[in-house]
Amino acid sequence: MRNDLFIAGYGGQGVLLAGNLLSYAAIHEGLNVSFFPSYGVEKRGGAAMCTLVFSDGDTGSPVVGHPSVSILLNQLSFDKYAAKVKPGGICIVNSTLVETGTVALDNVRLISIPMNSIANELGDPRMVNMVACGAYAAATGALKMGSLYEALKKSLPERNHKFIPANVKAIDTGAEMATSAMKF
Amino acid sequence: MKQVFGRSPSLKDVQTHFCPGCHHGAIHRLVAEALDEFNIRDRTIGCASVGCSVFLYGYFNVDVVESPHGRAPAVATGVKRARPESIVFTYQGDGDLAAIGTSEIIHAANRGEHITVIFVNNTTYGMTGGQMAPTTMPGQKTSTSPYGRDTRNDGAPFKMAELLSNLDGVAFSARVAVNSPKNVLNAKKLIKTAFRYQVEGKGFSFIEALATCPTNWGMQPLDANERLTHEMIPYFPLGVYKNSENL
Amino acid sequence: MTLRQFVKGNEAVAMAAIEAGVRCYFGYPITPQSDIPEYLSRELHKTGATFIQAESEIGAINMVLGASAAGVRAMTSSSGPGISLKQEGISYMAGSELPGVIVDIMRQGPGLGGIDASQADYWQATRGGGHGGYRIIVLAPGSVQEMYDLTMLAFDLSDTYRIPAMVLGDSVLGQMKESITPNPRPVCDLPAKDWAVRGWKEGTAQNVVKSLKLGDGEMEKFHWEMHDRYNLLADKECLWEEYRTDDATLIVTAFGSTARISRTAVEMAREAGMKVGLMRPITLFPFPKKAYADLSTKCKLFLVIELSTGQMVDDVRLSVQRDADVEFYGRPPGAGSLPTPEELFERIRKVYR
Repeated sequence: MRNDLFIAGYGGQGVLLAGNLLSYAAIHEGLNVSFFPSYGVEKRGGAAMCTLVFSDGDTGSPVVGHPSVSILLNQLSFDKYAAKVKPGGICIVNSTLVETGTVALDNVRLISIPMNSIANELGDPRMVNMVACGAYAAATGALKMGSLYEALKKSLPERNHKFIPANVKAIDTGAEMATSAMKF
Repeated sequence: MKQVFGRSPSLKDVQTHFCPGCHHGAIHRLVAEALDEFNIRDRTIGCASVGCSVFLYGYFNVDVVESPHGRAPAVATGVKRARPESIVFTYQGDGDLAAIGTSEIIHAANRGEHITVIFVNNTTYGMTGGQMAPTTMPGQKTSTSPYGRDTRNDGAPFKMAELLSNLDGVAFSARVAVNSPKNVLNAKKLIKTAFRYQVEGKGFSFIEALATCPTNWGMQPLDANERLTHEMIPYFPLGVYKNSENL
Repeated sequence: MTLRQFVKGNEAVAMAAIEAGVRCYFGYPITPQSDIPEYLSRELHKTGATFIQAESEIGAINMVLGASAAGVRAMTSSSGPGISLKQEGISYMAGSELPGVIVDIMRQGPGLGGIDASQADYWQATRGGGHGGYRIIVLAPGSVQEMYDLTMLAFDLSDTYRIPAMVLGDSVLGQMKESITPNPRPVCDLPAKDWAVRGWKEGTAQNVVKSLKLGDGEMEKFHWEMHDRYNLLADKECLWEEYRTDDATLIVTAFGSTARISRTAVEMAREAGMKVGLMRPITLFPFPKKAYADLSTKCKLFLVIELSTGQMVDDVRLSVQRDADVEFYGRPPGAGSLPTPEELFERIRKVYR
């Protein structure tokens, strides 16, 4: 079993934190993980992207050309990465910021979730990445929800552990949205 | 017959390779006497530099690390940090310390490394054959300043004892000479002070020792001594430039 | 049992250095390796060891020289431009037979280049890098786990042979995070450092650590002794990994992160029914020449893949049997030039026969 995915957005959307969270969840499930980040030279506001591979065996290449899943949080990353998703794969999109008509997707399941709107409703626009992670777990079944909750303890610094309940809520909401999107 | 003067135990019983009239030998002797007086020879590590001082291990009864050109203060930093109980000194010439090694000396001094630096200023590159040094005096002819050092082209000589005394990390900085019995006695006192600072853990200590280089200056030893007295000392005044005990 | 941890490659290097008992780290910031000094500045003092951010890479390597001469485990780390500056000190260390670990997280060059992954410093690393004709031990990790394991091995090999050792990573390996098991330092017999400067006590010999050798025949003797030591390294310490080479008619060969990408490409080729294997050298000096020679008695086609226009390919050509063909595919470093497994698979298909 080998799962790979891209997570991409702009700096500040929590792309790398999302990658860390899913990595810790996979480790919690006893899987091997490779997490390869790439970002611009800017410290703030540039493009942010990471590639994740988790596997019960060798993770192989940390570099992936065509992932089975992509989580795309802004228009730029959608236009750049959406078409790279493997046939039969899944593309999870932040529909608040992304107009999906720009790229024709063949044989790829598109799951559109208004992540910014949801995060705002939950009271913290920074939780876009948590909504995305929940959506990933529900849409792919690759990771258990409980593993994500556990992973919050490891991926958030100690001083932010008081926000864990709010993050769990965001993850759950993302999962619910993905589940209902899958029904159509 | 009673012996009134002998070899310092920290020095080996060998002839040096230094030229007649060169002051390195006297400066070696004063450093050795300081090691003897504090009885620290067997925990002292010398860091030799590149130049005439490279053969430190041939003359001193201490363990020695040879350093790349100019890097002795960095090497000494590594030695001292690895063995804080050791007494560590560097022995460097003017090309080594004040040209290629300016970065290393200034930063080791600024960190206040607990080492002692013996800096021999003879206004020329001795071993490579008398080229212009960062301390070559204005108008002084050398093999690479055949018309005399032109300060408009080459800048003015570095005054290292003064320069380093401005750094907070420096506990002791002095300039000495060994051209006369009086100056030798004073140099002995100040070199001892520099080592005492390290023994007592007071911080970085620096001695600039003015020296002759009769061979490369093209002078007889006595004439070289006269030049040091009448030309160098007025330009590079002797004295203590920083003494943290007096602050 | 040691718990698995999720760490960056650079952090794994720093963790391993502490586990290996490093007493002194001297470094200078440069991307993409700054996590190493950052980690050690935070953690090293807890073991009573020294961390100094030096004034320059030149200062740092000479502090390593001094600390190593004093008999303790010392290391530094840097990347391209900084590694160039360290070459003076590495040459002096080699000439003084001093151990010490240098971590090189390769970035693009020449010059300031850029911060993306590169393997274009293979020559610099494996040919010594500085003046005078010497070699250093070069270890090329292919995973975060190996960044950890090989850093510890670098200390042991360096102390055993009194040759500086380099861990040669790249920005992919330095920046990527993987789950690793931070194993305890392996137990091994190391020679006493009776050559170190420590203060000359009565009844012992004076210790002098130096590279100046002016005696008649002294330098010539040194060079032949080192030559023999390099041969001993080649006999005893070569490391490599083979993957499905047994029946292969094409063997892909690459080191470091490129080997990781290549392995997935080889798996794709196998799924397509092609008899393709992978040979990954782990020690780049000593280069596993004999392993290549052995492989090429059966397999006559090799494909070397590097993030450069071709450097290790020279060593592969010198190692294989004369009747083996060596093809090359290079991706010189640059933003966006990192090959994907799919691209490498395409290249395998073109070369395969």
